[in-house]
Amino acid sequence: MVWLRRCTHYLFIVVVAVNSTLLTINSGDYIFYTDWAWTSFVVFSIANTLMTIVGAVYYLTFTGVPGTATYYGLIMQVYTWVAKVAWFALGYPVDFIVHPMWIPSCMLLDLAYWATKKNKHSLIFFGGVLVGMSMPLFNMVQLMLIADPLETAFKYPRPTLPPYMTPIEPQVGKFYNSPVALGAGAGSVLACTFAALGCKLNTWTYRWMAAWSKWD
Amino acid sequence: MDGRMVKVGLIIMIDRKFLAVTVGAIFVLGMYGPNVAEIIQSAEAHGVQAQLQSRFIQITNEAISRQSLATGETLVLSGALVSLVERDQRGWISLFSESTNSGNRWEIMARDPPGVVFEIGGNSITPYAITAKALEPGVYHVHTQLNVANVGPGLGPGTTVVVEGEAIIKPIPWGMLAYQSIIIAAAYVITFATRPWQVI
Repeated sequence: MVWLRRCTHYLFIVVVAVNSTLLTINSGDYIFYTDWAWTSFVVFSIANTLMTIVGAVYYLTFTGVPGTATYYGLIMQVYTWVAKVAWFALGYPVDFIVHPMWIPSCMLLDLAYWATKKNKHSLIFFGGVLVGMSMPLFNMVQLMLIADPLETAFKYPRPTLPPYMTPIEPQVGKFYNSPVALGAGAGSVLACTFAALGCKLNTWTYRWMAAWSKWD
Repeated sequence: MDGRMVKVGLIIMIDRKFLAVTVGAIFVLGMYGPNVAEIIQSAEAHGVQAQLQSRFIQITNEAISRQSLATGETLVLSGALVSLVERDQRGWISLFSESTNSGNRWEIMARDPPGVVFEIGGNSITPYAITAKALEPGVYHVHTQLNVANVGPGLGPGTTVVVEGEAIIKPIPWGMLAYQSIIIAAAYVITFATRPWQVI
């Protein structure tokens, strides 16, 4: 089964594709519906942070090239831009959907890897904290550039929204009354664990390929 | 046995290519047949009276200020909410109307009682009014929609309203689009500068 060893890079590509689409883009319903953006900001931020970082670190440690994580974020961003066209075709307004902003956080991940001379331990700690704290911040900027999300929900009644679901304020009173603060704080801690997972997946993949290719 | 022939069962031998084409055709027909049938038939139910009055809070005396208007003009949908239960309820009022797409057909300008979520006292009558601006031309069956917390929606009987004129589109958030575009452009620069798709 030496073909396994020769096809390892294909496996990495498949994992990158699956993680970026099925896991990252789909975590928290993948695109911010702005009338729910404020209510669901924390859970979206944390889910997106975790899924982005595991895939980006897996890909980054595979190629060893700083710039890979940015490439990973770019793929997702462009993909969702194309997908957004489907919503316009259905008649939804432009600011009804805002994509999560992945690229700047992925750039910071590349920066951490490059600045620490490709040290994986530093990637896990510094990269994890940077991505976890920055992703809610960059997404907050997006929401500031559109009409107020909660107000939008009540001024423009969405025909497909289940009528008994009323967007509510995020319950973040203890966290400086801000979903960004909670998302950043929780994300910075949790992201380190998933960055570590990304590194381990890379190591395990090589070990499995080495082991399985010797089965025959 | 000819290499191209496939034995099916004990006796019948079928050409492999023919079998593959048949199976493929069955798959395609099964997948797309209903879609094609849907195109040929159509079922429309415009103007069907909604029969979704809530048993907890009834929407009575539903009245509309006008049934014909141009885009940009407003109408007022009013009536009374009669609570049939003893417990106080919380709910919010909206406007429900069918359309051919998911666009923003109405912009709610004012609500009475003011605010969004309000209290509906038990065994009481609460008058309501909702002012909405028409954004898209079309023929609508406009209903009051009352959403009661922990209960669900209720619709009023509804009235046909005709809206004419040019569609009013919500302002496009150019700032947000510029923000995304700049970041995507920077990512392209970094990606092509580092060429990470080349595996080491």
